[in-house]
Amino acid sequence: MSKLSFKGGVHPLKEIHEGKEATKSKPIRSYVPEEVCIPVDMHLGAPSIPCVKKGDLVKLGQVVAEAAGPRGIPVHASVSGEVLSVGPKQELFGKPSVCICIRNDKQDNWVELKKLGDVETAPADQIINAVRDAGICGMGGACFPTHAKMMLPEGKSVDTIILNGSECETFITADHRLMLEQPQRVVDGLRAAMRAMKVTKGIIAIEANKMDAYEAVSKAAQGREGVSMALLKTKYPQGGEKQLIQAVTGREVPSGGLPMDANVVVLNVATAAAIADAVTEGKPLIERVSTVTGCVNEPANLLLRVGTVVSEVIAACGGTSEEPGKIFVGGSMTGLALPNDSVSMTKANNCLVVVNQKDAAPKEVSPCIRCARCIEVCPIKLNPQRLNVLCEAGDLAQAKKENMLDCILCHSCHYICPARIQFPFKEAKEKIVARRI
Amino acid sequence: MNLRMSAGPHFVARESTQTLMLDVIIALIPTAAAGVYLFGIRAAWVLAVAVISAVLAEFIWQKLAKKPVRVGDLSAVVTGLILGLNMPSEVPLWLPAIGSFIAIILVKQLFGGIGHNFMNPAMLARGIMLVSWPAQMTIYTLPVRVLGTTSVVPSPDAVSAATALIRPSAYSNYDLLIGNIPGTIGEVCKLAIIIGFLYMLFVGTISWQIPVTFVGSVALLSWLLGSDPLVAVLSGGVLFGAVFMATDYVTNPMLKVGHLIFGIGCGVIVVVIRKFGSYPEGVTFAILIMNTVTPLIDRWTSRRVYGTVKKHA
Amino acid sequence: MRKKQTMRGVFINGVLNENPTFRLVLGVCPTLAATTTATNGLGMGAAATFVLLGSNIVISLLRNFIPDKVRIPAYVVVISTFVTVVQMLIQAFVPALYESLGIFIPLIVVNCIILARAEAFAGKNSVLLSAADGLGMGAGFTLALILIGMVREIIGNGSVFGIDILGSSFQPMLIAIMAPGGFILFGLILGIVNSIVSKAGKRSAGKGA
Repeated sequence: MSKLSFKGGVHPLKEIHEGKEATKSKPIRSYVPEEVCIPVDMHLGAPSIPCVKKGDLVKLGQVVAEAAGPRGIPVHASVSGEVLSVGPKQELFGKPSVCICIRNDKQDNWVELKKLGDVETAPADQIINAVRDAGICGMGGACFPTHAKMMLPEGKSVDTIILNGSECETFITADHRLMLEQPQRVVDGLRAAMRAMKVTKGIIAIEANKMDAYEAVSKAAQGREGVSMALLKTKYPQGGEKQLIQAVTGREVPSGGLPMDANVVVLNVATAAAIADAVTEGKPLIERVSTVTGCVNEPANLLLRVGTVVSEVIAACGGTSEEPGKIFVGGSMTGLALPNDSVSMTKANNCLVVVNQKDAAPKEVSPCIRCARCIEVCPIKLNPQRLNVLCEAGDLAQAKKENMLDCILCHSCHYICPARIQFPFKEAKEKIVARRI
Repeated sequence: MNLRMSAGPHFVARESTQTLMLDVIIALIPTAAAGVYLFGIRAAWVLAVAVISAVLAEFIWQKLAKKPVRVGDLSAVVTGLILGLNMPSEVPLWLPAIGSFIAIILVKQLFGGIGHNFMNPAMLARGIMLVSWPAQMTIYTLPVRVLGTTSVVPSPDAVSAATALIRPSAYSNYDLLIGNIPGTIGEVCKLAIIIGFLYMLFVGTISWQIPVTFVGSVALLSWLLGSDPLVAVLSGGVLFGAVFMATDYVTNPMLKVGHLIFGIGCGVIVVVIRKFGSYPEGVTFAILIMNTVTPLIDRWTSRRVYGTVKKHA
Repeated sequence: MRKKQTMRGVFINGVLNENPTFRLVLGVCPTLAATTTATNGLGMGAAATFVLLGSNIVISLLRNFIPDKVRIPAYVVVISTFVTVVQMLIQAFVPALYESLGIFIPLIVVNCIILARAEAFAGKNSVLLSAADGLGMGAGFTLALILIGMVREIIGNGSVFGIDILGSSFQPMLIAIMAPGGFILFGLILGIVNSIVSKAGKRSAGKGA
């Protein structure tokens, strides 16, 4: 079978099979937490507004924070029980987030759910509202409110929805196991989105390092209207929107534009499964699969309630096997290093990796030797070596002229550089935007 | 727990500057071994002096200039080794020592250290040595041992002899390939150079564009001007220069299309110097000239960025 | 108020602060050509000094008479007169120097130092000060040429002013007496001079603070 791909990219941790060996054969298992601390600002956009207070008794799936504005999404209780606190608690980006902490009474008393029915027969014009009411946001890591993605602005049209099942990052096997074990939910979610957006073509794209998942989803997709499969070459950042769209459809997202400018919308497979649940059962997004791996005694793919604290998650996997030097959420290329183990796993966290002291140690930076490996791997065909020189010299105006803003911050250049140069592109992009250069 | 907060990526590729240099050194081992076998223990001394002087020069300079000492990245070792391999085995030992100092201090460190030299350090140092001590740098002698069956009679007494470029018909193609000929320590055994080239291709140190276009254009242009292309490629320092010197990262263009231009330019200049110039060998000056053209090649070549439309000039 | 210039101050300025070779970087072409030996450097420097002195004096004398629009051609006429004189003198009295300097003697006419000083100094200052400037610049130029010439001759020939000092076992570095070696050595010496000047500048800035 021919595999689709894009030019450039790297194959991170190829020597250890992208770090997925420990968990790719482990079936999903549920973990029921003692308590959860749900931040109200998990998604991109304005934080949701809490509507419960300390001492309240909440049911599972009850709205505990209302959406702020039409592009916001509500936050639901991921356990039933007593609200312990509502207020600023966890610090992730230097400032504390408001969190709603609930002690789990382990009863799982569901709130009354409003089903729309089977995805093929549910009223199509109510699907997007159902997605918003379920609090669904991009579960591949970006956490953009999905209903806002599905509502196109004036003048834009979409003819294809692509489901991103590539999971190109290292360590993560959550989507892999989801597609392998529950392919029906994934395909249902795609069909619901296609019907809601009146799109006739849906493509589920999966990387070749998960052939068992590919087979399972192919079987579930058979006979479903407009749904086809695409097999992708195992490469990073295949799951990046721009690269995915190019590999699957051959189109390029114009510079400075969004996927809808290429007439495509991309959704993560876990997001699609959540959409299916919202439509068929009226279930809000209160749990998701996350891979827990690295230096833990029992690496696993856990079905975690939103808001489960990292320390509980690590304990659920048998604790750390070595003294941790770093803990990050996400994959090793773009993952976020945590300040401590008291932060919560959110709707967007698909992975938790514990790194030992040795691997967490910083690498010494040496001068650039102009080997041009960064240029070879950039999936956007930028010149990272030159952009680095410009950023170091402070010439952000010239950097912007040389397409600095098109950088997708995939860190491929950073990964491959033999001199371990720290490309300062995130800061450069932020400065260019902030100073309106 | 004391957690380090750093931005991604949290794991990086295993290749570092040091491993890249180490791979080049490994690729040079067959060439160095062949040179020492063919030319005797004197060749080993030349190589040793060149390498030690290069490392010493870099260490002394970085200490005096109060810069971080980076001899551990092995780039000085590579420079010294290549410089030594570019000399005949009978050079007086102060020659590789001075050459290494010139390569490291004048060409590399004075311009800003690793990554900033505008010409290949070993190549420019060799050029300076050639012009400064032309007699000593061209004492080509018959090898002290030969490999395989050949009509070349080896001599342990450092008997000077004409190289294949001066007397093309004196040596068979087999002799040219295996190294039973006078020449510099590293350039004679083409087989060893090819083994090194294949190793570096296999581990990903270099790409094929420059060596192939360099050698190819020498062959093509020599053939067009009436010489045997195989002999042209196997004589002199073409193979050694194409594989180990023109592929130096710092002094060649960044994009692959730039590599093609670079390789062709080197090949053409080599043949022009050989045919119409006063030097028998043109590899040194060809590579140096193309090194100076590299920034221009980089300016003239570019790729279309994803999501943009190709700008028309 | 501009500091009043003395003849002594102007002279020293030409040798040190505004040394034409190492600070103003003027007249580099004859510098590279005439420094293959120390003797050549001395000879070229002396010839250039003679011309500088003479042309500075004459141009200063005439400075109020030469119309501004035609000053450059006028200066060149004056300078070439002195160059012709010095060329004949060298040809007559030091024929060996005449042979080794060759075409660079008549090229003193377009030596940037001489035209620059005529324009920048002699055209605006009194005769005595211009003479001091001519002498100072010439002395600075000559000293620079002798320094570079000595270095190149020692490395490239093992001798100084024609006297063999390094013995017969010394293998000279031929590139030093060729143009590329001249460039490289000139650059290195210029680098050393620059670092000395900048260190001195830092020290005096530190003292002044």
